[in-house]
Amino acid sequence: MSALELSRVSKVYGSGAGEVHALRGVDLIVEPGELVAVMGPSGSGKSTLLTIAGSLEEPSRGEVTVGGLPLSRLSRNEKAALRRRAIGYVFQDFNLLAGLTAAENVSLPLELDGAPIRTARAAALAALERLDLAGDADRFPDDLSGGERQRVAIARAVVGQRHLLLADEPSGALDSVNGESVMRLVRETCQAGVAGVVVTHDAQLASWADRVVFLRDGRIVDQTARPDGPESLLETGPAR
Amino acid sequence: MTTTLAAPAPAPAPALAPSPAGAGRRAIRRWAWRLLRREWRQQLLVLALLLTAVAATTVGLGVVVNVTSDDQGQFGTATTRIDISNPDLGPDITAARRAFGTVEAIEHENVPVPGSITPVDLRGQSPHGRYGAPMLQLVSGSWPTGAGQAAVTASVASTFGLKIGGSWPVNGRTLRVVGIVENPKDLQDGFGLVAPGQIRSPSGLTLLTGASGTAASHFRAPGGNVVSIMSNGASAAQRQRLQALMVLLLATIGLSFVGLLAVAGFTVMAQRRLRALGMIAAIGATDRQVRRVMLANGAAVGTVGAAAGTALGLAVWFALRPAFEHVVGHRIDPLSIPWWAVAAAASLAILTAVAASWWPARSAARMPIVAALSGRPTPPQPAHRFAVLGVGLAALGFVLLVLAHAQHTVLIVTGIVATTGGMLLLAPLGIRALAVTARRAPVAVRLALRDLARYQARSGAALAAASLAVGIAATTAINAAAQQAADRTLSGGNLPVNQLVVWLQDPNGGPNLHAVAAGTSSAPSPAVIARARGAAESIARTVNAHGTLELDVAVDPRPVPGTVPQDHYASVANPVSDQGRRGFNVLTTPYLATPAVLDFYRIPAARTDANTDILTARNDLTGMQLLVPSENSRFGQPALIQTTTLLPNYTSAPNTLITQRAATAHGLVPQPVGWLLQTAHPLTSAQITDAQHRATAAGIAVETRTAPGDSAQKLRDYATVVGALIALGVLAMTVGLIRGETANDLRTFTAAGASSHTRRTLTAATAAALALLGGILGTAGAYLALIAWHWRDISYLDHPPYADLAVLVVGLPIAALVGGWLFGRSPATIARRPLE
Amino acid sequence: MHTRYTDDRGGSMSVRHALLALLTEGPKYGLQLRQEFEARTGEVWPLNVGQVYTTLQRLERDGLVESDGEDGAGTQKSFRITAAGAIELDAWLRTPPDLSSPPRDELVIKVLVAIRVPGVDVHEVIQTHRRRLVELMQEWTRVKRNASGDDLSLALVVDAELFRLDSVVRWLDAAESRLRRSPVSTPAPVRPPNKPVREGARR
Repeated sequence: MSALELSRVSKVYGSGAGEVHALRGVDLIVEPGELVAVMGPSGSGKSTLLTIAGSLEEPSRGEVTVGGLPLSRLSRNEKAALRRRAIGYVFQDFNLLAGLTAAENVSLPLELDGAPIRTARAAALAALERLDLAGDADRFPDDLSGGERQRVAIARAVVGQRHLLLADEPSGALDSVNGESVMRLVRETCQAGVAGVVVTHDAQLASWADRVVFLRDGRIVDQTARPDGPESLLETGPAR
Repeated sequence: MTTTLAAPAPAPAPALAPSPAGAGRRAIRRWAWRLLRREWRQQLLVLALLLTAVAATTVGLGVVVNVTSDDQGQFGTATTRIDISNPDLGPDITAARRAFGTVEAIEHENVPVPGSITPVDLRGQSPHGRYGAPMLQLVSGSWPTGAGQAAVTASVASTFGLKIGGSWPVNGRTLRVVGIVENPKDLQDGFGLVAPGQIRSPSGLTLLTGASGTAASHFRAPGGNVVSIMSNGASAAQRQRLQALMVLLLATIGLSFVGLLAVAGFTVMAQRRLRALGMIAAIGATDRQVRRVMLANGAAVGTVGAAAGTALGLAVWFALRPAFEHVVGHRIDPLSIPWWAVAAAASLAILTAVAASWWPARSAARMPIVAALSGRPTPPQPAHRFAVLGVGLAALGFVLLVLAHAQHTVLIVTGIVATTGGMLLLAPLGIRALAVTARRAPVAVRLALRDLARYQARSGAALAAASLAVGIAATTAINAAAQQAADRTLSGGNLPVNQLVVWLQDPNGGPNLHAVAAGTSSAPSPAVIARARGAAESIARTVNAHGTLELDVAVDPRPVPGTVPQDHYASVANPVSDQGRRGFNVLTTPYLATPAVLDFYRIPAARTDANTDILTARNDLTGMQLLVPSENSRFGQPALIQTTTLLPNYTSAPNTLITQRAATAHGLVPQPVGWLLQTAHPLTSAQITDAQHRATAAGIAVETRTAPGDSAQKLRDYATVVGALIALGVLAMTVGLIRGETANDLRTFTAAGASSHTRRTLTAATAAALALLGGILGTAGAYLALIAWHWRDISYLDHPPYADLAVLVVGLPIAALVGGWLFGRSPATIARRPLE
Repeated sequence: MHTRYTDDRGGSMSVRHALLALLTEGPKYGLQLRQEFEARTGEVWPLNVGQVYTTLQRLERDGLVESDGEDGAGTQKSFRITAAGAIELDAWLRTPPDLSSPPRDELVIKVLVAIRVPGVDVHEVIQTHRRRLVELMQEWTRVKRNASGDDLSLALVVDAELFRLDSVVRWLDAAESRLRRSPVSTPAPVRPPNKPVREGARR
């Protein structure tokens, strides 16, 4: 069972003359443990793809299945429950509630789901620990650097038992070294069995993915081949 | 270094069972509380608005229930008061005891004040009387107990120059002053107090009983004449009903106010939190949880605002009480506040805040998550749809208020709420209209007005709040003017503080001073008149008056048998017919409209109709008849009466004149009765005392202002000022609230090279636009409500207070413009953008 | 059609100065130099022994290094840097690489040709190259990912490769968006170019 499956997904905004086709019949399957990058220029529909995959928006046509559950059959509240329990989001810049500490931000989905506060905090601390942020648990987002904030956001996106990690330009506001460490974390998270989708226009970020899907005008036009393995580069790569 | 991406075991399908009811409530509450704590600065304006509204309501409640004294100043705890003149004390009291059982008697004796026409009342009353105890309070010293002891009020002490321990010659005996007393229920009541039974020559007797008015109405005093029988019961019930109505009105308006301000505030806050709300929805908060964030915040802000507002209101009330006591003229128990209403207002304020946060919460929860995340507000609803609903609601409110007959409470409350709601819904239309007119305005003005129109939800509520504030101010002003007009018959007292009348004779039936002085009942001789005129002139010189204005009455020279000289005065009277007997009810004695009087009051001859008989400032003389003593056996035509506001509005000033044409036509001749003196400054007590001495020497008397001030008038003035101040304050805060939201725009604006001039223009334009619309809407709303309220007597509103209304409609925008300009600098931290 | 996305300008130049740099640490044997070079560059640039000795001979000819061993017995020869060599190295480190003259980039030529050839979808050509470039970048990223965190040289070298490849991808992106804006110059578009969807239209 795939973690995420989009079949013939289309999204149209507006109507009549102002009609905008953001997605046109997109098919995409992401397996557990796989990190897929969706690459495309601005306006290619990549952010829409992510919001639809994350149940934040409904497709105009087509079906989205998360962990085997077709989203079209879920109520608003069931979708919210799905987001609390199975889907983790990382946005480009705005991720954390300023009024809550790092640990509280991370434990928020669990607490919203009704987990006892102690359990939720323990899970949050564990997630922060994995991301090397154990010392920052009780600091407020205002006191964290941009890279740290993004790492806390990832911790929040993976806390608990997640199936799907969705990230929209997760390192967009960061410099390349910080961006790399964020992508490294996303990569490691996926290695633990979570399916990941990262949308970006940046080839360097996309190159962290197992598979890069190219989106143009709401269509998937191409994708990279499944890699042979890490050794291939040194054997076939340019020799000097 | 080989890493194979071992396919992990497929994750189990996520379970979608709903979380336990109320899950995450704690997290939500924690966040709401942190929001309040961390962002208290940003919520300060909302808090301040709520606090102001609640505090104003609390103070208003205290004022409303205490503004009118209960009748204990006259009745004590009795239900019926019988006043008897020239009593025969023993038989009268005995008769009363026989008729009613328990009776408390208060004896009166007149103590003349040298040189003044107003005597002082000396009372024989027990401070521990069965009924009258609440009418007396000891300020200092002790109660008079035996013969020869007296206590006086502070005003009497100053009139006679008395001190505790001093002696007071009264009608041929000397009393020792042992204490200073007051009537706590009527601080303007000036009197002397002796122990019961110590009155030598009683001029009056007051009987207080617990009997009903009907039972008392048959009472006949064997010794004296029953002057009046007053019953407390009906008036007390009516007063209580009125008071309850006022409390209800005030609470309703106050809470509507709280509601509007809260809607404005929470709409702004919801907008500010839009991205955060979108984000928690994105991580899986249900709609209900998103709503709960806003509701919890509303409850928190409401609780803090209501608690602080009530505390502030009570503090202000306690602080203002002494000053307020002097305004209303009676002592106020500081704890005499409608506690239940204050508590209800506070708890309703919290509920209102929660309810007000409900609508923004609902829209935030219903908003598409993606739109919320990007911080894009939903496009404004078309204004005309609101407008139609608004007109409908306002009309409904109007009809309800008309139907309420100023007494049906449910209709009143719903009427006011509907009118307020109508204003809230009409506000966006006004904003739209203003934005349309601004198309050709300079960029800063255009931007300011367009922002108002684009963020209609918040500006609409803010405007409605400002309108209601203006409406309150306008209502008080209009009401004050209407009251003043209605009070024309009562006028602003006997005389203004800078006038003094030297009386030869009191034209309105008081003691004939000359007659009293001379012991005769004939008309004053020319010599007497000349002496009095000389005294008046000497008084005029000592008080630096601008000369003397002679007041003449028109006298019928033809003899009428069996009459005293005053009966020869021409008067304005109301023909009455009682059980077949016809008679006249004399309302006033007009003075002759001599050229000097007309000139003194700057009444141009051209402004007077040729046929006019009577010129008057009073508006209760219409249809009255000119009564000439030798013609009094026949009913005549109603006199031709012309009212003018140029004449003074005081009882002892010439407020009614008979034209010389009419006097000549009826064969009347002038006779001086007094001289009016006017000074540039209010008369001092030293000047008054000096004048009284000079008058005494000449055998005449002077009259000066008796009441320290008309408390109702003063109170209305204060209410108007306070209403305008609250309107201005609320306006300033709402402008702050709205402009605070556009700090980002301001940043961009500054980055684009806008000078501080432009930024000031932006703020000033916003403030002025809101003030102008608020002024117009508020005044219109106030008139709508008042017309409905006084539907059956619309002439009540015949005297719009043009000056006050101009201040609200024109002055407020100008004040807002200037204020916006002065305080509309750029935010201190242009570069710093807070983390949302 | 296969393009090798490599830059063959001045490759030997870099080896020459890299060897000089290694010799600043002290005299070294040829074989030792090769091992150290590979270690320093994260084994990304394999050198064969011949290449090392040819370079060393040229350096010696130019008087930038000197050897102590006898002629011919190459492997056992020990090399040390001369004063002239040190000056040359220092000057080279500070000389900006020649970036001003446009390289005769094969990819650029291919795209330019693709525009002119009827029946060829230039977007498809661009996408094919883009995909191959991204695949290459994925491979380099994988190298970086699997390397130990403290291998600084490797990280720097891989970054250099990634940035270079990234720049080519960006050029392709730019070329594509330029081509879309002037549809006249593309004779045979398979797909009518769509009006680009504005980012702001997302809701």
